[in-house]
Amino acid sequence: MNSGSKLQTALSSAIVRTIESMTFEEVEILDDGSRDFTSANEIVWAKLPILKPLTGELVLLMSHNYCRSLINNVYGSTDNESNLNAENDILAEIANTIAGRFIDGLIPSDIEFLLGLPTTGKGNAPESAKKITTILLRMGDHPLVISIHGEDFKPFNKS
Amino acid sequence: MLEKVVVADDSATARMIIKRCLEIAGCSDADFLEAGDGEEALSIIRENQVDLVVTDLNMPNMDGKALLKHIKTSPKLTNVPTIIISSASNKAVEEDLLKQGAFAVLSKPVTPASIAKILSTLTDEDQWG
Repeated sequence: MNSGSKLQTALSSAIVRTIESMTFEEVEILDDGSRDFTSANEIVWAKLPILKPLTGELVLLMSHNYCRSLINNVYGSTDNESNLNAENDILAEIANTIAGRFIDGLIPSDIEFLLGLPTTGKGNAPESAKKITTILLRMGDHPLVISIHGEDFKPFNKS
Repeated sequence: MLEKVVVADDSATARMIIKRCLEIAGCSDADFLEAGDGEEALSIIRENQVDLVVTDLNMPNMDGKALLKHIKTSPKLTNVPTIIISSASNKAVEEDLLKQGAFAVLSKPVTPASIAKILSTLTDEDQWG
């Protein structure tokens, strides 16, 4: 991670703004995400293609427990079937919103951008193009990892 | 006073958050009519006396821009204020949508404060009589 880069600044700002607005929880940015929490936890993930004017992906990983607590936070308690739909929906919406604010912070405001449709899953993190940067966050006791993939983002990862 | 508000977004999470923000911003007595895409929203708008439409931009079947076009080109619906909310919005997108008749364009994530600011402008302009 290059903590002074435009990439890191835009991503950190997008994450904090999105998570705090959507969950009403305070976000603590920990480090570059090199610690691997994913193997020790049951994880859920969302992957969102970034299509234009830069090409790449945003990948979001969180523990299943934290995802469930977010659902309770947003929806209140739900039954098992709607919980599954809500898990996929909330993961997709968080990834989509972070990606939008991230690209908005990275490119000039007079250039339109295009995001693809998110995919979500449970278990091992999805395979992606080359990882450029990662941020590890904590909301209370719960970790959350967000990474940006794709060569187009490499030039922005310099101080 | 806003009595009927259409909230259109293909994400149930987004609809929930938008409704909550609207309620906190002063619409706690409104009847919220939810739609998962533009087609469903348009059908609701045609069948009800709607005071406000809050719609996502990127939706399946009919997106927010097409929904706005239907609203603004219909003599019966053209005065219904339409707020567009999107994760993929910036100055360029905002200018385009305002030109096409959107009352306001907001970036996700929306907050009660950002919604309240738009609602106060609506009140000032007496859009809903």
